[in-house]
Amino acid sequence: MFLLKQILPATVMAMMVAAGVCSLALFWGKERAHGVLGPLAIGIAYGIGHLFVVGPVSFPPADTTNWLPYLALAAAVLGASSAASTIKAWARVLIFALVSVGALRLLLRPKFQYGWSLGEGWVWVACLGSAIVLLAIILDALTRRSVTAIEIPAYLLIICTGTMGALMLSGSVLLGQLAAVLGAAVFGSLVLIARQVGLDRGIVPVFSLLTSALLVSGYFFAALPATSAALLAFAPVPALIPVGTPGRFSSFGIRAGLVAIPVAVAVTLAFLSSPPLDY
Amino acid sequence: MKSFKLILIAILSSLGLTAYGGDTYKVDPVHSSVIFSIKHSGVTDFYGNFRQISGTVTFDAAADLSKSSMEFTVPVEALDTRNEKRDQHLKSPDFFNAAQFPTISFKSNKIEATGDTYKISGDLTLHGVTKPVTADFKKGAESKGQKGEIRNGGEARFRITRSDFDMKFMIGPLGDDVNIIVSVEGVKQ
Repeated sequence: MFLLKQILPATVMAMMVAAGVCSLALFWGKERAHGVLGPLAIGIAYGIGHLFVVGPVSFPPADTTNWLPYLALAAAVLGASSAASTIKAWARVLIFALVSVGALRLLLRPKFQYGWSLGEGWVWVACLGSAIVLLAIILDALTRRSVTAIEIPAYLLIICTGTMGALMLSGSVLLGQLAAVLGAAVFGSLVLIARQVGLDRGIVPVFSLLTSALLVSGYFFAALPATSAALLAFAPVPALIPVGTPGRFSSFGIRAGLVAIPVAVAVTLAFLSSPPLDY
Repeated sequence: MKSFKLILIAILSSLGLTAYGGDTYKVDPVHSSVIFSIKHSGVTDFYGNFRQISGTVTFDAAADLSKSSMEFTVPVEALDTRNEKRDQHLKSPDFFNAAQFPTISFKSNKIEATGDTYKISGDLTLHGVTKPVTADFKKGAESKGQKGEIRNGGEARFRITRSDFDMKFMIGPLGDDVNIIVSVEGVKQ
């Protein structure tokens, strides 16, 4: 009951904000709306939900996890602008890679300060940055292949639910709550489905960056197993496998099931390797 | 004549240092304790401690108290509440966030006598946030240790509000106020 009280206000707020911003799509041109409002809805909703969870955040924040609202807004602007303009694919990837590296450097400041040598730290940042870019490329490919408006939000919701569960099981209810807020923001964007509009590539930078940042925080600052983090980060990969079924809803169902498999394994591994908070 | 002057300067300097700086003690972690208590479920307090503390105390009540100072550092990893699961949770990002903020530190900026006891004001850095706190300090007696070393110490008590230090998780089931006792024994340097 306490957990519900702790999680509900922030998630409801994130959901309402995302739904509110996406509702603008119902009054705006379809093409522009789903490209620009999707990332803005998720970024703004996550930022507000995050502040609901942790309270006011100073600048620069002492707790590096509190960079996430700022990063959410930056990624939302990046997603919205890349959806609204005709930036070349390589340029979008390059800009996102730079944003990801900057975000990782901010998030992992304590590791640079107390744990790693400078060289070691930058190797970590480069590897994790490459992984985030890879996740973005996978999600981008999925947005282009999606056959129903609900497809992308469904995959993202499955990943958010798994991330929430794995983080909570790994000793940090707080990080789990933040994953729940991200999931609620995605859920709020389902309003777009009322006009058969799916979330398109604009949401890729926001979702990739926020999910990765939560997993990175879970691994380095809580006790999230590396395997769980990797499985959750790359859970969308099976959805790229061509499914040879005739109906578009049945093929979506199979792909959603395929995404759910690594997510379920990740949560199970987190459950097995971390002590439950039942003291 | 020149060497006599040098010796005289050295003696006067050392006297001056004693008079103005007081005696400096290095905290003996084996005989010092950091204990905290916090209300659970609104019922009663449970107690925990930190198994390590380091620091120095420069203190001379007979001389100028404004020259006295205290500095302590406590590693968060040394937290112990007699329950491994709870310790792990307390060190997580929900509470102390030990990976991001590995130490708790205190540095005094004012010590004043209040009858038999003292008020120590200073900055406490916890969870990456620095806030001023004031502790009541009761000085212990000076004594000689087994190796002939001079020992002294005392006990400080103060209360903080953890939400002031951005530690806001589970306020309700766990209290917001935390009582802290720092009992230090130092060896004269």
